[in-house]
Amino acid sequence: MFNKLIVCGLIVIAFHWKVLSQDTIKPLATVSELEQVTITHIVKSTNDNISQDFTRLEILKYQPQDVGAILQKLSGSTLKSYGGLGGMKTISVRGLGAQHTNVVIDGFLVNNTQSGQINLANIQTDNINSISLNTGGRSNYLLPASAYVSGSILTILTFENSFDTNRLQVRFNSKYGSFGEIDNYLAIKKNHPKFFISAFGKYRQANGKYPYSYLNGNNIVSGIRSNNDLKDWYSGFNFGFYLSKKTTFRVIYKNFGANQGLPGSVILYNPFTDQRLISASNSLNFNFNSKIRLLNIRIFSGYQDDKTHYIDPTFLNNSGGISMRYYSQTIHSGISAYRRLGIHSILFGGIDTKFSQLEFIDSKNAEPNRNHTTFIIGGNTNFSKLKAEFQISGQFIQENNNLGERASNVSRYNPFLLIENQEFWKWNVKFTGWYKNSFRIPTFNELYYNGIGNVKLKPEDANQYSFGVNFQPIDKMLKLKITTNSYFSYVKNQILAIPTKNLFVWSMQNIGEVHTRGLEIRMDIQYKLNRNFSLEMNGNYTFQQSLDYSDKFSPTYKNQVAYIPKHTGNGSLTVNYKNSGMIFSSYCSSMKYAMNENISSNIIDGFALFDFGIYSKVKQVNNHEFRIQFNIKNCFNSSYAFVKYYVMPGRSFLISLNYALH
Amino acid sequence: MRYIKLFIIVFLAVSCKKHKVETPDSTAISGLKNGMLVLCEGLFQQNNATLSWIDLSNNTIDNDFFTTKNSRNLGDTGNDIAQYGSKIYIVVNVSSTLEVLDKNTGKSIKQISMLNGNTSKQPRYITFNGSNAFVTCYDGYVDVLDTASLTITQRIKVGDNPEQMAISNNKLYVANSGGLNSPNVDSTVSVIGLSNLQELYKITVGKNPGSVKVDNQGDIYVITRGNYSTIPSRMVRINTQTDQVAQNFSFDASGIEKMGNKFLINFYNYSNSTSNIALFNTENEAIEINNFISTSNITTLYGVVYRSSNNKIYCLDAMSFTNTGYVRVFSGSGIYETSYHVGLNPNNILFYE
Repeated sequence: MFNKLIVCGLIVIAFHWKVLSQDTIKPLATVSELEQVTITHIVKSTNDNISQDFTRLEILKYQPQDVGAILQKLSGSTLKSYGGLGGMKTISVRGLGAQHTNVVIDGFLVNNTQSGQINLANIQTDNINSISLNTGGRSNYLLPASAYVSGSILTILTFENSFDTNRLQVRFNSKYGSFGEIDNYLAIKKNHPKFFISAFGKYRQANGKYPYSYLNGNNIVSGIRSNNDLKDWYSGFNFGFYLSKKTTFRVIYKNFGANQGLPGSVILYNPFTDQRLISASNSLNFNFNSKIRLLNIRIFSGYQDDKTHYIDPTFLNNSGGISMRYYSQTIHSGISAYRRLGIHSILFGGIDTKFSQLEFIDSKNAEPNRNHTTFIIGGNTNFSKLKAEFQISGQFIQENNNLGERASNVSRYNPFLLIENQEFWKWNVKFTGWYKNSFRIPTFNELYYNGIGNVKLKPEDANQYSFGVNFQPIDKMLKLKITTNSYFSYVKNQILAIPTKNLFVWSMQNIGEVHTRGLEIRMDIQYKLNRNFSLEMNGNYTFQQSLDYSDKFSPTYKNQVAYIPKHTGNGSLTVNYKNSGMIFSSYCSSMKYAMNENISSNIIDGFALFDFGIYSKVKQVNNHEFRIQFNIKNCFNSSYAFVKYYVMPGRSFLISLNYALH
Repeated sequence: MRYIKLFIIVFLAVSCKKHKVETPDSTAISGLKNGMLVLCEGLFQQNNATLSWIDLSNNTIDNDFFTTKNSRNLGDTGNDIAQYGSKIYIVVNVSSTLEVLDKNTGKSIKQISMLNGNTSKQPRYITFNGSNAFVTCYDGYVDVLDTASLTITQRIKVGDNPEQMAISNNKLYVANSGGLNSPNVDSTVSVIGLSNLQELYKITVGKNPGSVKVDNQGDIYVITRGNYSTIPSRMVRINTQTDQVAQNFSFDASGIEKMGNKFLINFYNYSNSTSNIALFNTENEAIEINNFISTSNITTLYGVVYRSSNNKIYCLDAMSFTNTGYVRVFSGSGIYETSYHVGLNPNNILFYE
């Protein structure tokens, strides 16, 4: 039991440390919106077969709690949410684990060497100008080399950190919602032809006391979630200036803090939980971009520290509970560059190195650190009808442990190849095929955590094959765009926890093998009748058959793996009339299993959620934009769960006020 | 008057019919004889502890027996099951409940909450003496339950995180694991006098005591589970006259099951997933047969139960802990006979004649 608790504690901690596109038609975004997205130092591709994006306006429309909630709307992604504001959210893309997705904000990787999982509930959307998920290929060339070596990349660009032409810009968002949610964000940016400076801050809180219901045998049990409160805040500043016409320098500082209750899963007959998590982090990043003739170069360096304090006062040990503290630091520096070779080719490359260390305050046998160097080199070239891109990456990981046995060093080379048609044929048909070989390194928790860690772990390998087609059969007043992707991926040496000392002490082993076959279909329709009236419809459907190939003799051989539903889908309809509009959106998931054995007792029921929103904008005067929106989420009050017994909220309301000075 | 008579007749008929459903005769129809009730522990925080009912007359299995009978689930982590008198007691660890069922119907008589204020007592095991049931609780107590009124009458302070118990010589021997203080685990057995219901003293036995059994001679045997690395899991014998450790055994052991005047000593090796069941003679205190049962068809040995009435050995196979398990049946001489597919992590069996 004790060790079970430890495992749980670890899992909970891991959860709390800190997953595709539909809307390729964006004429509704105003000119100024598009300008903001077009960041001078990033070359953006628009291949819908490899990336899915959301702009600020779309984010405003859906009013998501966080990035996790917006990524749920993308095809090929599987959200795992533990419920509540700030509660752990991770996204698995195309059947690979959450650790196979890198998160990059304003060109800087968000690091988490301890658990390897970024809690997407801690990344909020107020400041986002654009967010894009790249499954294969790249949307730009100047991210850190290490960003391109994962299974997929989530790229976020913020308002706070972009050069702009208008003198003074302001963003203010204020939200009030069910379950005690109060959420305020303010950012001010001063622009000058030579520089910009921005300061921002955000505070949100919620008591998280949401009503829920679930089925216990034949009885519907209702309750109110407890120990689910959250207070979190962040603030920071950015500045950037032009050193010359083609050279920029940027500094980004941000701090984050959170104090939250961990409600855990609903336990039958025992409603009491007291675990808490207090987290704090700071990051300081420097960035230098320059264009020297045909060469674009970026030099960057960043520091990030994270402090986490996990408290469980009800743990039945002699010291009256658990109080565990973790400190981790990461320093990350590197160079990325690309150069045009003639008019048909681009050569790109980069190298970066990341030093991470972790201190487990309660551990006597682990104080690990890691040097992780990554380089990539590649190029793409346009033949008459085809474009080909090739990339090779190398990673060299040196492991150290000041207090005990260390993991083995790793050095690996991984290829990536993409082919797409160059000419837009009839209907703008575009074919894209790609192959990617990648891996994820075991996290510090998996390697070193007391009793659970296993220093003998090898990296988890992933191979992905994808083929996509998109076309635009109608492009008039009515626009229609269809994108389909089919893919196959397999993961080897998957890191799974199994009992190795007794039932309660689970330890990490490279025992899993998962084969995933998937199909994504996205459809975007836009109908613009006149200046005043327009309609948008987006829909996507994902089929994922993710089978356990770990062991021929296991009862779960070729069973659908836990937590991957076979069918998921999204739909949304937006009606815009003058400065007002209505949004209907829905998310559906078929049933899934809580464990790999596909038996009825492991079933987590499928569900459908419907959200509704209505907004009104005050006509833009002198760059002032004022918007009010009212949303109802889970309109039909469905009871549902992404994770077994982590009950999700029923119907909720949100009123949001947004002011922007463009 | 005629109506009243009719009413009485109808009432009686209805009552009789209703009554009939609940008589022991009809439980025979519902199946509670010639079978076995298997407690399947489930997994932590998944609320999937279950009872499997195996009807041996037709070999049918109901893996959702508790829910079928009580229209609600058993809860989280079913740790122990025992029968005493006409009742069945199930200790549900994480849900922190004691479920009391009617032995003949499987229906709930009472659910006793094992919460202490806002904190779970985390009950672990149950044993009986006279009118009392003793329940070890991970908060360092043995709770005394009056089996007639089904109320907790007393809490007896013992060592840290107590596990199994056994009774000998009018004393209750409680293994104090101290598992939640790992690596600084407990190494004692608390001795409780059954006449005054107080801890008399503690006996030091070795690190992390867990299983406790008594033999026909009244000796107490304790498994000290060590630290899962350098200190191995071993068995010690306590002389209940002197309450001293009389013997330390040098073979690997993780559980004890009594078979007449012998013990079946089971051992599951987590590092290579192999298991062993040895036959131990409690008269000459020595292993008689080292590999008494061929465990090659057992994936994860999670417990052994001996049934004296048919002289059969039932091995509980937890199937790597994340898959539903099996009860594997062997003859009294260790020959494999059959298997029954049950719920997740089966850990104990009650037999019905």
